[in-house]
Amino acid sequence: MSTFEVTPHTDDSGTTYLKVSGALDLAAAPQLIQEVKESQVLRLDLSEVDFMDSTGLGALITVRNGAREKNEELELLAISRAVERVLELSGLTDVFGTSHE
Amino acid sequence: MNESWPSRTVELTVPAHEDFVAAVRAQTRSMAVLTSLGVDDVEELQMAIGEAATLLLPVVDLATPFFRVEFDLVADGMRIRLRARVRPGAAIDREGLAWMLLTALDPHVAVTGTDETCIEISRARSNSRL
Repeated sequence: MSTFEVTPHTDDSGTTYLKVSGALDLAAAPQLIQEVKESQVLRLDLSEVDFMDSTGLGALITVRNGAREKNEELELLAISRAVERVLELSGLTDVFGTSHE
Repeated sequence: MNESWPSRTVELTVPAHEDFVAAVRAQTRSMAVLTSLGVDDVEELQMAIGEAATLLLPVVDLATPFFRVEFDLVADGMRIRLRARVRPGAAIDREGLAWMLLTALDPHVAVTGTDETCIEISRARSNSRL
Protein backbone atom coordinates (compact mmCIF):
# COMPACT_ATOMS: atom_id res chain seq x y z
CA MET A 1 0.00 0.00 0.00
CA SER A 2 1.23 3.44 -0.89
CA THR A 3 1.54 6.50 1.27
CA PHE A 4 -1.66 8.38 1.95
CA GLU A 5 -1.79 11.66 0.08
CA VAL A 6 -4.33 14.36 -0.62
CA THR A 7 -3.35 16.64 -3.48
CA PRO A 8 -5.32 19.48 -5.10
CA HIS A 9 -5.89 19.34 -8.84
CA THR A 10 -7.75 21.48 -11.33
CA ASP A 11 -9.77 19.93 -14.13
CA ASP A 12 -10.18 21.25 -17.69
CA SER A 13 -13.09 23.46 -16.67
CA GLY A 14 -10.99 25.13 -13.99
CA THR A 15 -12.75 23.41 -11.09
CA THR A 16 -10.59 22.28 -8.19
CA TYR A 17 -10.82 18.81 -6.73
CA LEU A 18 -8.80 16.77 -4.25
CA LYS A 19 -7.16 13.58 -5.43
CA VAL A 20 -6.87 11.10 -2.57
CA SER A 21 -4.46 8.18 -2.83
CA GLY A 22 -3.14 5.39 -0.63
CA ALA A 23 -4.81 3.78 2.37
CA LEU A 24 -7.74 5.73 3.80
CA ASP A 25 -7.65 4.07 7.20
CA LEU A 26 -7.74 5.03 10.84
CA ALA A 27 -4.28 6.58 10.60
CA ALA A 28 -5.24 8.73 7.60
CA ALA A 29 -8.90 9.57 8.17
CA PRO A 30 -8.23 12.65 10.38
CA GLN A 31 -5.90 14.01 7.68
CA LEU A 32 -8.62 13.79 5.03
CA ILE A 33 -11.09 15.66 7.24
CA GLN A 34 -8.48 18.32 7.94
CA GLU A 35 -7.48 18.71 4.28
CA VAL A 36 -11.09 19.15 3.20
CA LYS A 37 -11.74 21.60 6.02
CA GLU A 38 -8.72 23.71 5.15
CA SER A 39 -9.23 23.65 1.39
CA GLN A 40 -13.03 23.93 1.46
CA VAL A 41 -12.99 21.65 -1.60
CA LEU A 42 -15.89 19.18 -1.67
CA ARG A 43 -15.03 17.30 -4.86
CA LEU A 44 -12.98 14.18 -4.20
CA ASP A 45 -11.35 11.76 -6.59
CA LEU A 46 -10.96 8.47 -4.71
CA SER A 47 -9.88 6.38 -7.70
CA GLU A 48 -6.41 5.83 -6.25
CA VAL A 49 -7.47 4.83 -2.74
CA ASP A 50 -6.15 1.28 -2.50
CA PHE A 51 -7.64 0.51 0.92
CA MET A 52 -10.45 1.96 2.99
CA ASP A 53 -11.80 0.93 6.39
CA SER A 54 -14.67 2.02 8.60
CA THR A 55 -12.78 5.06 9.86
CA GLY A 56 -12.18 6.14 6.28
CA LEU A 57 -15.88 5.72 5.63
CA GLY A 58 -16.54 7.67 8.81
CA ALA A 59 -14.36 10.49 7.49
CA LEU A 60 -16.40 10.64 4.28
CA ILE A 61 -19.60 10.75 6.32
CA THR A 62 -18.16 13.55 8.47
CA VAL A 63 -17.21 15.56 5.40
CA ARG A 64 -20.60 14.93 3.79
CA ASN A 65 -22.51 15.95 6.90
CA GLY A 66 -20.36 19.05 7.34
CA ALA A 67 -21.08 20.06 3.77
CA ARG A 68 -24.80 19.52 4.18
CA GLU A 69 -24.87 21.74 7.25
CA LYS A 70 -23.73 24.50 4.90
CA ASN A 71 -26.23 23.48 2.21
CA GLU A 72 -23.46 22.05 0.06
CA GLU A 73 -22.83 18.56 -1.26
CA LEU A 74 -19.83 16.28 -1.17
CA GLU A 75 -19.15 14.98 -4.65
CA LEU A 76 -17.16 11.80 -5.25
CA LEU A 77 -15.87 12.11 -8.79
CA ALA A 78 -14.50 8.58 -8.96
CA ILE A 79 -13.98 5.71 -6.57
CA SER A 80 -11.69 2.72 -6.54
CA ARG A 81 -12.78 -0.87 -6.11
CA ALA A 82 -11.62 -0.73 -2.47
CA VAL A 83 -13.90 2.22 -1.76
CA GLU A 84 -16.75 0.68 -3.69
CA ARG A 85 -16.51 -2.52 -1.63
CA VAL A 86 -16.77 -0.68 1.69
CA LEU A 87 -19.71 1.38 0.46
CA GLU A 88 -21.43 -1.83 -0.65
CA LEU A 89 -20.81 -3.59 2.65
CA SER A 90 -22.13 -0.62 4.60
CA GLY A 91 -25.14 -0.12 2.36
CA LEU A 92 -24.16 3.49 1.76
CA THR A 93 -23.45 3.40 -1.97
CA ASP A 94 -26.56 5.41 -2.83
CA VAL A 95 -25.84 7.96 -0.09
CA PHE A 96 -22.70 9.11 -1.85
CA GLY A 97 -23.90 8.84 -5.45
CA THR A 98 -20.59 7.55 -6.72
CA SER A 99 -19.08 6.62 -10.03
CA HIS A 100 -16.69 3.69 -10.23
CA GLU A 101 -13.35 4.06 -11.97
CA MET B 1 -0.43 -25.34 2.02
CA ASN B 2 3.04 -26.80 2.26
CA GLU B 3 3.24 -30.06 4.22
CA SER B 4 6.90 -29.41 5.00
CA TRP B 5 6.11 -26.47 7.25
CA PRO B 6 7.25 -27.33 10.79
CA SER B 7 4.39 -25.31 12.24
CA ARG B 8 1.15 -23.83 10.97
CA THR B 9 0.77 -21.04 13.49
CA VAL B 10 2.41 -17.65 13.09
CA GLU B 11 2.43 -15.09 15.87
CA LEU B 12 2.94 -11.36 15.67
CA THR B 13 3.10 -8.78 18.43
CA VAL B 14 2.89 -5.08 17.66
CA PRO B 15 2.20 -1.95 19.68
CA ALA B 16 -1.52 -1.33 20.02
CA HIS B 17 -1.40 1.90 18.09
CA GLU B 18 -3.09 2.98 14.88
CA ASP B 19 0.27 3.32 13.12
CA PHE B 20 0.82 -0.45 13.41
CA VAL B 21 -2.53 -1.61 12.12
CA ALA B 22 -1.21 -1.44 8.56
CA ALA B 23 1.55 -3.87 9.59
CA VAL B 24 -1.04 -6.31 10.88
CA ARG B 25 -2.97 -5.99 7.64
CA ALA B 26 0.20 -6.58 5.62
CA GLN B 27 1.04 -9.69 7.63
CA THR B 28 -2.51 -10.91 7.15
CA ARG B 29 -2.11 -10.56 3.40
CA SER B 30 1.14 -12.53 3.44
CA MET B 31 -0.35 -15.35 5.50
CA ALA B 32 -3.52 -15.48 3.41
CA VAL B 33 -1.50 -15.79 0.23
CA LEU B 34 0.41 -18.71 1.74
CA THR B 35 -2.88 -20.51 2.35
CA SER B 36 -3.82 -20.02 -1.32
CA LEU B 37 -6.93 -17.99 -0.57
CA GLY B 38 -8.38 -16.12 -3.51
CA VAL B 39 -7.78 -12.44 -4.15
CA ASP B 40 -11.18 -11.38 -2.83
CA ASP B 41 -10.76 -13.49 0.30
CA VAL B 42 -7.33 -12.01 0.95
CA GLU B 43 -8.68 -8.48 0.62
CA GLU B 44 -11.63 -9.18 2.86
CA LEU B 45 -9.44 -10.76 5.54
CA GLN B 46 -7.27 -7.65 5.49
CA MET B 47 -10.34 -5.50 5.91
CA ALA B 48 -11.68 -7.70 8.70
CA ILE B 49 -8.48 -7.69 10.75
CA GLY B 50 -8.27 -3.93 10.35
CA GLU B 51 -11.80 -3.53 11.69
CA ALA B 52 -11.02 -5.87 14.57
CA ALA B 53 -8.05 -3.67 15.49
CA THR B 54 -10.20 -0.56 15.17
CA LEU B 55 -12.63 -2.08 17.65
CA LEU B 56 -9.95 -2.98 20.17
CA LEU B 57 -7.86 0.20 20.06
CA PRO B 58 -10.22 2.39 22.10
CA VAL B 59 -10.42 -0.14 24.93
CA VAL B 60 -6.79 -1.28 25.15
CA ASP B 61 -5.25 -1.23 28.62
CA LEU B 62 -2.50 1.37 28.29
CA ALA B 63 -0.41 -0.49 30.87
CA THR B 64 0.07 -3.33 28.37
CA PRO B 65 -0.59 -1.74 24.98
CA PHE B 66 0.07 -4.59 22.59
CA PHE B 67 -1.78 -6.50 19.94
CA ARG B 68 -0.99 -10.18 19.77
CA VAL B 69 -2.03 -11.78 16.51
CA GLU B 70 -2.10 -15.52 15.85
CA PHE B 71 -2.52 -16.84 12.35
CA ASP B 72 -3.55 -20.48 12.05
CA LEU B 73 -2.84 -21.72 8.56
CA VAL B 74 -5.21 -24.63 8.23
CA ALA B 75 -5.86 -26.96 5.36
CA ASP B 76 -8.85 -25.09 3.99
CA GLY B 77 -8.02 -21.51 4.87
CA MET B 78 -6.98 -19.41 7.83
CA ARG B 79 -8.08 -18.39 11.30
CA ILE B 80 -6.82 -15.20 12.89
CA ARG B 81 -7.05 -14.29 16.55
CA LEU B 82 -6.36 -10.69 17.54
CA ARG B 83 -5.87 -10.23 21.27
CA ALA B 84 -5.33 -7.26 23.55
CA ARG B 85 -5.63 -6.63 27.24
CA VAL B 86 -8.44 -4.16 27.80
CA ARG B 87 -9.26 -1.68 30.53
CA PRO B 88 -11.36 -3.09 33.39
CA GLY B 89 -15.01 -3.00 32.43
CA ALA B 90 -14.33 -1.83 28.89
CA ALA B 91 -15.94 -3.60 25.94
CA ILE B 92 -15.76 -3.20 22.20
CA ASP B 93 -18.38 -1.06 20.48
CA ARG B 94 -20.92 -3.26 18.75
CA GLU B 95 -23.00 -0.38 17.46
CA GLY B 96 -20.62 1.43 15.13
CA LEU B 97 -19.36 1.16 11.57
CA ALA B 98 -16.39 -1.05 12.47
CA TRP B 99 -18.57 -3.76 13.98
CA MET B 100 -21.04 -3.50 11.12
CA LEU B 101 -18.30 -4.00 8.54
CA LEU B 102 -16.57 -6.75 10.53
CA THR B 103 -19.75 -8.79 10.86
CA ALA B 104 -20.54 -8.23 7.18
CA LEU B 105 -17.09 -9.52 6.27
CA ASP B 106 -17.23 -12.46 8.69
CA PRO B 107 -20.70 -13.32 10.01
CA HIS B 108 -19.11 -15.93 12.27
CA VAL B 109 -16.72 -13.54 14.04
CA ALA B 110 -16.22 -14.52 17.68
CA VAL B 111 -15.41 -12.17 20.55
CA THR B 112 -14.28 -13.78 23.78
CA GLY B 113 -12.58 -12.83 27.03
CA THR B 114 -12.90 -9.95 29.45
CA ASP B 115 -9.52 -8.74 30.77
CA GLU B 116 -7.98 -9.96 27.54
CA THR B 117 -10.35 -9.68 24.63
CA CYS B 118 -9.89 -11.92 21.62
CA ILE B 119 -11.52 -11.35 18.25
CA GLU B 120 -11.38 -14.40 16.02
CA ILE B 121 -12.06 -14.24 12.33
CA SER B 122 -11.66 -16.91 9.71
CA ARG B 123 -11.92 -17.46 6.02
CA ALA B 124 -12.14 -20.72 4.16
CA ARG B 125 -11.34 -21.27 0.55
CA SER B 126 -14.39 -21.47 -1.68
CA ASN B 127 -16.54 -24.54 -1.11
CA SER B 128 -14.85 -25.23 2.23
CA ARG B 129 -15.83 -24.63 5.84
CA LEU B 130 -13.54 -23.99 8.77
